[in-house]
Amino acid sequence: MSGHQPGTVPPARVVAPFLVTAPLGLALAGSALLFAAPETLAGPSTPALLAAVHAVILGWLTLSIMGATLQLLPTVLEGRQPIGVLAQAAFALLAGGVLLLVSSFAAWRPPLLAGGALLAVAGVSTYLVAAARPLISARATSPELTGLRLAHLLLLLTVLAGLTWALALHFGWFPVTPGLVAAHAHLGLIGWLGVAISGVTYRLLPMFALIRGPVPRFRSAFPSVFFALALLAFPVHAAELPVAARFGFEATLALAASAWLADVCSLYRHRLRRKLGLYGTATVASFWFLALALLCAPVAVLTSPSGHPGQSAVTIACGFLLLGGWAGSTLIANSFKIVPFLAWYHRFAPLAGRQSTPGTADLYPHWLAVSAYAALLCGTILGALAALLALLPLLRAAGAAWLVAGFSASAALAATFITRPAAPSSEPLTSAPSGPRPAQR
Amino acid sequence: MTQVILDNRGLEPPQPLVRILQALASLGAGDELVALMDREPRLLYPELERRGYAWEFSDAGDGPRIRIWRAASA
Repeated sequence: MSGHQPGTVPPARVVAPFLVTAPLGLALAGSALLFAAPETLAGPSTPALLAAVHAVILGWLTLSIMGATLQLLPTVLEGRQPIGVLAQAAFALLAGGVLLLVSSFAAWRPPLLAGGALLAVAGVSTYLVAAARPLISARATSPELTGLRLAHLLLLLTVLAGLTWALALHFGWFPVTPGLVAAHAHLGLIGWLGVAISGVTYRLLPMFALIRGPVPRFRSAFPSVFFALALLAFPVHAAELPVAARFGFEATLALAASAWLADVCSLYRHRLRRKLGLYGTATVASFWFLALALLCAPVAVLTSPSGHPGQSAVTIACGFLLLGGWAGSTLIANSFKIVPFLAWYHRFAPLAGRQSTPGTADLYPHWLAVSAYAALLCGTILGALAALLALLPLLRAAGAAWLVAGFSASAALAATFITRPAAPSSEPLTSAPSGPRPAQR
Repeated sequence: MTQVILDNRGLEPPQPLVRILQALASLGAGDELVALMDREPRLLYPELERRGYAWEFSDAGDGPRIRIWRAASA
């Protein structure tokens, strides 16, 4: 044997809680919007919207990316095993932190907010310790690994900034201005989510869309570019620079993201899997949502009364497009590939070759996964329209849709670990590979 | 000795893993399996070790491929 020591697959009990319960964060966001107060659409920093944004980013997207990272680092990126006990503790701390943070935002209780932020920081720090060993030891040298390392650094900076703002709010250290909120939001969105997703896409897209094409030319540059832009966003917004400077920054950010989108779309054109399915539909939708959001971002600066994106209705619409549309679609697409495979591997790999085994698609009700994604799309579009038209009933309808989406996605993912498939079936093949073919030596 | 060639390119996980383990089950003593892959099948290795196989992965100019044979001690 060469090149690898076996036994590097993390146990399901370490990874599965992150991946399976994460969509409940989307449901939590939905409930915050469903019961939103009438003044919620007055700006992006109203309690219900802050609750929803934190539930989506920390509860759904972050927990999912953490779970996927713990799974991918040792298996795909040649890193060592994460520290399982710490990963489990991190999950408990972060899940508790999200619950407290979101409920204190929704009810606007600054003392509880600081407590929730503290728990979230503790959860993220514990997770970083658990993941440090595979993150550092990973042998593969690739943009996705660079992206993951940079993104995790930005995640820590984001939660630390959030904790500082929460404590400042509680103890009155300094006013938490829209500029500080925007700086924190850029660190989380462009930094943590942007860097992580932009890098990992180059690994996951070829794997799941079956791409055997040329290596994209600029893939190495993007994680570093977004990392630098996320760091730059902090002083640009926190220091309340003039409108022209902020518009220039948002336009540069939109240009960089457009270049990434063009690069990824050109990669996707080489896919062998032509049937769209849930993965393809969600992937293509994520591209369109990102393109729309990129058009909105500079407009948000220009349409704001003070030239600040934190005060524009377009910012709220942009948030729905980015979080539910781009990141959400990307996450749904990949979750229903990663989690069923993880469940299949732990349940059926020892039986493979000895008896018939089910395909990954047999492990969960497909209709439930499709319903979850349809509800996510409905909620995202309704939410963006609610922001632009200032219609509270639409926002509440968006909340109801996200509530359904979150519960459906979580139930479908949980099913992969517990269902007993009735009859084994084969995965659909997109090409016709040859079967075993003997050749005399 | 017979070398069995298995083309696993263009297949989505876990199909390459399943096809390799199925092919190994019918491999004769002294034979070896060469599977053409899209990428290194890292999750296959623990199963191969459990079942007493040795392997060699290479990613040369003609694409990723893994050669598998029954380990001497098995």
